[in-house]
Amino acid sequence: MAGFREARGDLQLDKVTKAFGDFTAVDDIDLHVPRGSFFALLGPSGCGKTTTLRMIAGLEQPTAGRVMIGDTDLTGSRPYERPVNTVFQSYALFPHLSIKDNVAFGPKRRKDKDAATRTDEALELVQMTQFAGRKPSQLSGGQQQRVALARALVNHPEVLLLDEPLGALDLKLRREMQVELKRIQTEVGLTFIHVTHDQEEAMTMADTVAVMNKGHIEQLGAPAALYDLPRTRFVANFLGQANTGVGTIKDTDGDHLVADVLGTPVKILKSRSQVHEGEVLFGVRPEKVTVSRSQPEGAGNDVKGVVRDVSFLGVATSYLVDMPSGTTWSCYEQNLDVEPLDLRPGDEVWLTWNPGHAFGVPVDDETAQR
Amino acid sequence: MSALAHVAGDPDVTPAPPAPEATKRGWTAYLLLLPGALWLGVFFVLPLVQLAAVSLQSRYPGFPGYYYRDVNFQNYAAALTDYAPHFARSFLYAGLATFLAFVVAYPLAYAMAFKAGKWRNLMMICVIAPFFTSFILRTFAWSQILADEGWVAGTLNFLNVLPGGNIINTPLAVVAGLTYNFLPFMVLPIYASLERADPRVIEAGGDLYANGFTTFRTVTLPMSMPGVLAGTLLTFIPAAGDFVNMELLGPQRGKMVGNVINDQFLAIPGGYPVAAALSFTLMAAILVMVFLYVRRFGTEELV
Repeated sequence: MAGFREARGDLQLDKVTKAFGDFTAVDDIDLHVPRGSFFALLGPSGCGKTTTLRMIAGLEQPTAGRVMIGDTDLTGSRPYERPVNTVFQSYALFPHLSIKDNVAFGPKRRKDKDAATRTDEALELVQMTQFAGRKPSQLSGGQQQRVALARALVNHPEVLLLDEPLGALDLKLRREMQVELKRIQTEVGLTFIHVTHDQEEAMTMADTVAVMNKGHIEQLGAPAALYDLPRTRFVANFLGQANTGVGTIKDTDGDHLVADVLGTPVKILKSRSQVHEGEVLFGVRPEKVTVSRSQPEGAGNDVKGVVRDVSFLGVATSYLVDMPSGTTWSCYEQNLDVEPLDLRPGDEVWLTWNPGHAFGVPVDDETAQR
Repeated sequence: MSALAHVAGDPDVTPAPPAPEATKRGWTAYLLLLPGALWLGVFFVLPLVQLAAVSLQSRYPGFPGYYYRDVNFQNYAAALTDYAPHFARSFLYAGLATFLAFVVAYPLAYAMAFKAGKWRNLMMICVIAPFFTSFILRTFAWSQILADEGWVAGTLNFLNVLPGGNIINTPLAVVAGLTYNFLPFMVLPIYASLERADPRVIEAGGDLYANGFTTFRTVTLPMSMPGVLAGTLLTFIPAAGDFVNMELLGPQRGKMVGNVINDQFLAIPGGYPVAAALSFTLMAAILVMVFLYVRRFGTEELV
């Protein structure tokens, strides 16, 4: 078909900017997505993730920068010229066409001789063969979702874009579809770019997550790495829970920085802190904090607090503890001990954590406010 | 106390009989229906029965304007034979006007729905504004615009592109008037169905390798078919029965069926039965055409 551009290889965004009037939705981002990977763009609404996706699809054109697949520059080409397909938010199925015709739409436009066979295969892949004759309005949300996926996958695009594909589904269905999407991605081996504001969704499915905020990519990496060592305050707070405090770096102790937090020294591993002098925001994940009634010996970091709230979760008991600095920390006690701590609101407790688990990020992070 | 405990303890043992509530609701629906049903009965069904009766009456020979009750299908035979050309003209002119209105209305509705931006409301007002003046006054205005002394005919004559030299009192003027008068009825339903269409569905067409025109042909147009269907019916049905445009803009000879009915009722003594028969025939013909049309292009499967 005329104008269609065959392109193979990694997806590359090169200094891409998109401005709508005075508002810069996407600000000078560089992105490299290896072929065949499952990549998530994660961020709050308005962070520019959907605009980025639409620029890859060709539904928006960047104000500056280039969109490439392999060596082919796709900047400026129309959506129908790109080897890229989208699973739209709310699915956007053609209401006047049957499920089969919806899926066959792409292959027919490309004058594919095997359109019928490929349509059947795609419907089979998402287990929707039995609904081929129905109209979209006769399907449930989860079924429409599968059809939308088949309609995009049938074209074997070089890059498949998913715009909040699971947003409209209930929790149980969403979990099922997460597993399903991951299975399909492994099976077809295409590059998936998945836009979501749901950190759990991004972490369960993606090989690589890029956390976006205010048009920038704050941090990019494997889900576990981002969770373990966030490099900005925004990432620390957006991806999972973080207990944080602000201190001033006063000293070093071997591999550690020593920060003064209202008179209490707190150690952070040098290699895990983005700042090495002045003010630092340190943080530690709730499951890395141990709670006890008396001050433990030689644990590394310990701070005294007052229990505010106790909730029993089954596998663990969750505590909210008011800290001297005025913040509230969260921590868990695994329900393993024969004699549980049996803490009550108002009890004084010691919170302890290994300095190797803490991370340090800049305090005056302009992207911190969410 | 014990009764309370029993009810609380066995919520599924003692279901309160829902009957009174349900009956009450049933009656409410009928009560709400009543004013409308009465109105239709008095002002639609009764006159229709009356008209049917009149259409079968016979004239007293020698006493123009007097009839007796009869079952005389002669009136229908007359309606169909004497006035067949009038029926044909009505449907031809109404069909042409519907087609022209569609050609004008679709791009207008499309522009309003997708391209107008902040001008959308203004355009909407412009489409609706003619309704603030009477239909007859507006048609009179058209008779001035299209008159031989008017600037339209004047300009065309000056350029020597008007065969025959005039527009007024020609079928062209009638079709133009019908197109103009029923245009809003075409624009509004099409606009409504385009405006309701999810823009992402149209984007999906582009994403799935359809260029702008193909997306329009395979996605946008089919999605707006309910509006097109409604618009063509709302234009064709009144246009086929219209007599005002022919009266004010049309030629002396070659009238439409609406004019014949009008004349038979008001101008020709003893014309009532034939006028009633013509009315019924027109109604039946339109019903059949609409039925076939909706069956052919029916879009009840659409959301």
